[in-house]
Amino acid sequence: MSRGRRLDEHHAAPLHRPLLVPLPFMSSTLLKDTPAFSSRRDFFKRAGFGLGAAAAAVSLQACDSDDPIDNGDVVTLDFSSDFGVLNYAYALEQLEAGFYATVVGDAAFGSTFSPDEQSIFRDLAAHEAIHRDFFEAAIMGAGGTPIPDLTPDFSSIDFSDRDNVLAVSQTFEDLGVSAYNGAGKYIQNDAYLLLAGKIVSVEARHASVIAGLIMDNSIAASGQIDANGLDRALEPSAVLAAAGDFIQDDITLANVPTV
Amino acid sequence: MNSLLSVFDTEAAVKSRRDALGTVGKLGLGAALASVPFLKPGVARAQTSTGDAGILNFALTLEYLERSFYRQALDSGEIPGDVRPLFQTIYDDEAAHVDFLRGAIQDAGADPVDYTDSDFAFGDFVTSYGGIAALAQGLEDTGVRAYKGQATSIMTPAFLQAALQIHSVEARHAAAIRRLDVSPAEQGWIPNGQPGAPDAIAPVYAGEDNVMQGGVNLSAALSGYSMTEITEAFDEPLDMDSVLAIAGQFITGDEGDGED
Repeated sequence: MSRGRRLDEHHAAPLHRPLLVPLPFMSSTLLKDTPAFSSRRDFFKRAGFGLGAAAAAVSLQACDSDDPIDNGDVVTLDFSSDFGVLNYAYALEQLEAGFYATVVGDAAFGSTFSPDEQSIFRDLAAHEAIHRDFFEAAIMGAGGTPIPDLTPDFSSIDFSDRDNVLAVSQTFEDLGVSAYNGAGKYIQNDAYLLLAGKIVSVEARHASVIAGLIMDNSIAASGQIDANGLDRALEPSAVLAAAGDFIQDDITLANVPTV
Repeated sequence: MNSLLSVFDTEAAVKSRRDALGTVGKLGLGAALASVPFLKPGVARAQTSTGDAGILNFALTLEYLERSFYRQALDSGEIPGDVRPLFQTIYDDEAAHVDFLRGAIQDAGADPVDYTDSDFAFGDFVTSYGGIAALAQGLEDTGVRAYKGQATSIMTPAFLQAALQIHSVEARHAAAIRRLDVSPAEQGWIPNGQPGAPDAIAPVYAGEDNVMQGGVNLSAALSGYSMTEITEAFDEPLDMDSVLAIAGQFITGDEGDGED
């Protein structure tokens, strides 16, 4: 299997070292039978999605030789268990972490951005790398298989162009917010839903700050918040279509429920 | 940060959270939580709604509170012109949330709670730009925690998604407010337990310094990151009672009495 180059290669610290610490709470919660009291849980039960088939949720297939254009992995996210959703989040966090690592690692970083902006980008790079490392550890700790390291395609981005970097940052942050907002309903385990909630609001804070750097008093790109005051929610298929421009690997979806 | 602290801490040192809430009371913001357990009739009604409708009524109460706060803040004349569009945007969002949640609750077959602007009083928090920014931060960060705390209890997928969609907008508001020059915060995200928060809003950040995620102490398990970065990367939930204790300081009228 071809492993893509490290997305965080600009970051000196060994940030991506797999955790050796188990995640007892998550795994025990995941394996525990949950009472069928709730309509949301009932939905998943009716739809035939138990918690038992988790370990087989992610299938990976190396196909570099068949895929001369992308030259990446084929990754399937199987939403029939929470591991598929967690790997979906892991994929997006890999993309964001890799992007910001490249931003802060660029030779022109110090001259492209103001001190305030540099501080913000360093924070974003750290937060996204933490999210990425957390998801990898969480998936492994609960007995799942993390997707491989994705191979980014940032060739369309001029990292020495402030406006370009801010625009792509806004794209990624709004996409991340929209992705988590759309995926929450697919998460069966409350512990994972809460963890997604803990992360999505940080993504939204990022998105707001980036929007404010692009335009004074702005908190979101135009159209991101609708007339009801609701942030966008995107289905996984739409998110992956948008993210695909920046990822060389092919990511496909399986068993996304109709909710 | 210190100058703002002096705005809210009119007494000498505030030794505890209980004392901090007492300070709020001294500013004329209603009975302090410490001495009067919060149990407003309107919120009690919200809590007695069952299931998803009860949670949505809880959320609606917070949205009424925020809408009233921003309306009073905009009417105060204290907000500088260069940032007024931000406050107007946030007000518009909160007003839209009120309307949306009322509709959602009715769709769920329940009665939405009714509050009017006169049911809320914000005392000295709406008489200066510094006070407005500080309470805006406190209310937005509380709103983020409140929605997060209820998400796992929402059983209807459509309501869960809508709540998440509001949740992230509150987080956008919070970050923008926190970035204001006058804000006591220094970043859009919450470091540790928000050191330096004015005492009056310090209770909003109880538990935000949590580093246990999924049963693991991330500050020990992840290498290469500071404690500050780790705590910033995860926002923490707050339970309904704690949220109502914070919000209740500003609810001075009764729900459903039709008075304005």
